[in-house]
Amino acid sequence: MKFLIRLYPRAWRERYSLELEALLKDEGLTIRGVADLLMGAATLHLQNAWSRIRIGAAFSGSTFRTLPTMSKLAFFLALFGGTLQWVKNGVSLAGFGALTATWAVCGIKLLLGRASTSEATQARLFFSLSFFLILTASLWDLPAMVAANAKFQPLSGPTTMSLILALGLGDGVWSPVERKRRCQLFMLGCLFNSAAFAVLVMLGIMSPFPGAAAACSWLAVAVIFPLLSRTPSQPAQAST
Amino acid sequence: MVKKKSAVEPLRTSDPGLLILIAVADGPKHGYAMLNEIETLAGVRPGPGTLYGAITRLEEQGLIEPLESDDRRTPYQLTPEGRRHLGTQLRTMESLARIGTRRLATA
Repeated sequence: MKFLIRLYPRAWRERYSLELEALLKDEGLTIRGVADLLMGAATLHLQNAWSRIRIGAAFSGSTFRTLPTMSKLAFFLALFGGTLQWVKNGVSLAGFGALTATWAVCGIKLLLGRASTSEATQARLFFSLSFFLILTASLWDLPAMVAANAKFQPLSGPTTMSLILALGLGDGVWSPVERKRRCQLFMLGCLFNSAAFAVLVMLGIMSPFPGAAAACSWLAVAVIFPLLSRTPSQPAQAST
Repeated sequence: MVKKKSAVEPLRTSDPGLLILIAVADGPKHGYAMLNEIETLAGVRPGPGTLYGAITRLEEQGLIEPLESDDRRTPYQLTPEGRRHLGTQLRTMESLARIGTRRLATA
């Protein structure tokens, strides 16, 4: 019985699990009841995920004018990187375009001070950005190259995608501490990739344009992540 | 802070949400009592997942609210907004039923 309740989102369990347990004790558990509980848990998870996919909702909410300079830096880095890739690399125009357009919209909103940083909005923004990053195959270049040498190339894309999805989907379920730790880990990964691209360019293994573009993109993601991992108890500092 | 939804979606007759609102219209009830009441009223008994999914939505929409309880069985009651919403829905259904019945009679 408790196993079934554990399938529900954490926030929901904290509010309703005792009541549901009491109901199941009174009502008894039938096969139909088990199926109904499974459906209920799946529906709530889907609703949570869907609320994060709605990109428009990511930018609604109260006015926030105090995003630090780092967010603006992230915007310019992403815009620069995305544009470079779009212009110079003709392999995945749709992905590059999506990345550029997404970051451009985010950046403009941030610059105009019209983005909200409430926790719910951060979660939606986080997922929206992750969703577009999944589309952007260019960001998988480094793991793909490494995997190609190891003859595991087919696994590189799905692995990266799984990581991003796990971070995004888990955002509403994990506690703020867990989320922060995962965001920090992901941020470190982004920084590593960014540095690795820079090294590849410097060593002449990779041509400057796509290398610099990918490095900028990863760096932009790394810069924006600390903002997304903030909780209400850690308000953003006012920009000077 | 994220704004709370102001518009409440209209309910269907098969919607457990509407049945819950009707079940608690005459006084607070906990989950098990709601199931019994709904079964008496509509001849259907929603599953526990369906019931608590609907309770979650109704509470988020501000149509019902929990009451303090020493027991784990938390009773819920209609809010003033829930009472207004239920009244509107029932009047709409009543009007539709009247029009439909009249048209059937004249056809």
